[in-house]
Amino acid sequence: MKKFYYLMRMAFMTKFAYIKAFWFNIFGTAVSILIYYFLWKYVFRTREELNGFTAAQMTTYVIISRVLSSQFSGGIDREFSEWVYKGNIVVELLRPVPLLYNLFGKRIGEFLFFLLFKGIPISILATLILGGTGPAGAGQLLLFGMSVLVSIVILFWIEVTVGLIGFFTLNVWGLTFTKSALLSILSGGVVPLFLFPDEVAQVLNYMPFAGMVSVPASIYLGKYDWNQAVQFIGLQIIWAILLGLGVLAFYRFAIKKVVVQGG
Amino acid sequence: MMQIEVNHLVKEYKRKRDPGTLLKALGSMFRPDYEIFRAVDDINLGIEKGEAVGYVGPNGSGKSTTIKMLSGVLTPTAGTIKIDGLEPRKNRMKINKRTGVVFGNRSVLWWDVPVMESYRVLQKLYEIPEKTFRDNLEEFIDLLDMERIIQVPERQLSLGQKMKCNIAAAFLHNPEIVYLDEPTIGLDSESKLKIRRFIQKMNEDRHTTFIVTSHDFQDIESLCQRIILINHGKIVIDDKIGAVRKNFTKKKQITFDLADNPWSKGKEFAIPDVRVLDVGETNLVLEYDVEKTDSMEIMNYVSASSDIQDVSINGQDIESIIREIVKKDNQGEV
Ligand SMILES: Nc1ncnc2c1ncn2[C@@H]1O[C@H](COP(=O)(O)OP(=O)(O)O)[C@@H](O)[C@H]1O
Ligand SMILES: [Mg+2]
Repeated sequence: MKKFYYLMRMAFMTKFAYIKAFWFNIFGTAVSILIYYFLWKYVFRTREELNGFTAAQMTTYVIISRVLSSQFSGGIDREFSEWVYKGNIVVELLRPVPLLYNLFGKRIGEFLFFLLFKGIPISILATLILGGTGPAGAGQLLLFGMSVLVSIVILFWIEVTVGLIGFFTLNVWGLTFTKSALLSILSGGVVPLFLFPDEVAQVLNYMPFAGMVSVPASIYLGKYDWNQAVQFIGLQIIWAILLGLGVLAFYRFAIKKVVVQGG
Repeated sequence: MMQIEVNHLVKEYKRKRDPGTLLKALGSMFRPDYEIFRAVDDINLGIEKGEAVGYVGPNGSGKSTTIKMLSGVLTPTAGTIKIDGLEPRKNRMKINKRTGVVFGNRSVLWWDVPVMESYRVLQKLYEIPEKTFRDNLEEFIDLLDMERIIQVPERQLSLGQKMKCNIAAAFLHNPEIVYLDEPTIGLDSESKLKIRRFIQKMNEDRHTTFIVTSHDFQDIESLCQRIILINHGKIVIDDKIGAVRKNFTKKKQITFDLADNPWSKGKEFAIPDVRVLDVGETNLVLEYDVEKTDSMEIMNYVSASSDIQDVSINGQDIESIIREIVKKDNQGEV
């Protein structure tokens, strides 16, 4: 646990070193919130509600979805693949903790940084300024938090997979780009899943991606009752475990093939 | 039992063959054309605890590849490695705790934070007791003169400072074995000297086993008792440095200080296989082939026509010995 704490702390400090770049990152997210906000505002000009969403609820959905999906383009996959590409993986493999443990500590550190300096302040500010709704209740807020926590584990496995593919392709630029685009769409980060055709929406609701935006946002807005919320979080946990097992197997296979670049 | 035992170690890399034309390059995106390249070819080694071994060879001869296999990062294509009886590939975490590795072109520190913060994380990861950590740090800071640099982020350090910090990092957890791959590459002589002294001291005080690869033969000569020469992935020589010097010295230089030097006045030097390198009013420098003649014969000859005031004999330095061995090996003679 102590080791994990120090790995997290290191990721946190590293992020701090790039605080200037982080302001641009926040600016980018703020702009994307505004764009989506005005889009939906336009839609709601002619109607009171859409599929049970009021304009204020949609504003909150936009804020939560934009903030949560802004994580998709970050993460450890790019750095992980860069380790492989530039050969620094050799140093990381020589650490006295498993590589995945090391990476997870780093990822959680970055996630906490994201929460503290971007996720929470931006969400609160945007909700106040743009007039969104608060959480449906204290219980919903708690479940929302849990759902986001589980989703970060799922996101981590996806990032590891993308990085691992770097073992074979030695370059994952295209892949990370595709990843963040796909995740944004499939998770409900671009438009709510109910706007997809019914059958597609049904499938997507039960995929692990929904857990990253759609599920937590719906819980927050009180779109799921207590039972549904717990079931969806349970499903996310199952996905996190299944994906974890799969990625672990892939990791074991890939690591045997590690080719370390450069002298 | 040897601390490090390597048997019939082989590493083959798959390399994409250069496709030649653009059309073929497009084709090879889907079905890459590979060739097998054998970087390490049937190596056998035994290294005792506390030994300091210089692992030398020309660029691309397979030194780094060997180190990466020894440290468990690369999987051997064939053969076995045992470190204290353990296979590094299968016991990576255990081995990592007992070894330190320094790569001259890589860093184990975190780039953006003060070096001391990186050391703190390493302390936790290696579970180094606070007292050991403090004592080691104090000693290393003193030996490597790092007082002023450990509060600075690594990205703001010079190459030599970075290397010092990395070498200290490799020793914080009192490793039993340390691999140093080109630890002094690109450093100025002052830093080199400090680093050499440090490694020497660790070897003497703590009996840390070392394998050092280096281009700099002064590193090897000052640090190692034993030298292993690898060429094209194969071991050519594995012996004590002294023995290598003795067995492979082909040429020696002999320098005379003479009261009166008849060879400076056009006299022919009459022993064959002796080359006159330099001749002045009172000095004479000769190079001779140790297999064809010896110093006694030359001395007798010189003293017959002149008054010898002083004489000194120099063997070849280890670098030129190794260079000649590699040259012969490439011609298939050793
Ligand atoms: N990842 C790799 N893929 C293909 N070939 C490699 C790779 N790494 C090293 N090699 C080749 O293996 C040989 C040995 O490399 P290396 O062990 O780095 O040599 P040294 O450290 O002695 O300079 C070189 O010819 C190099 O080109
Ligand atoms: Mg090398």
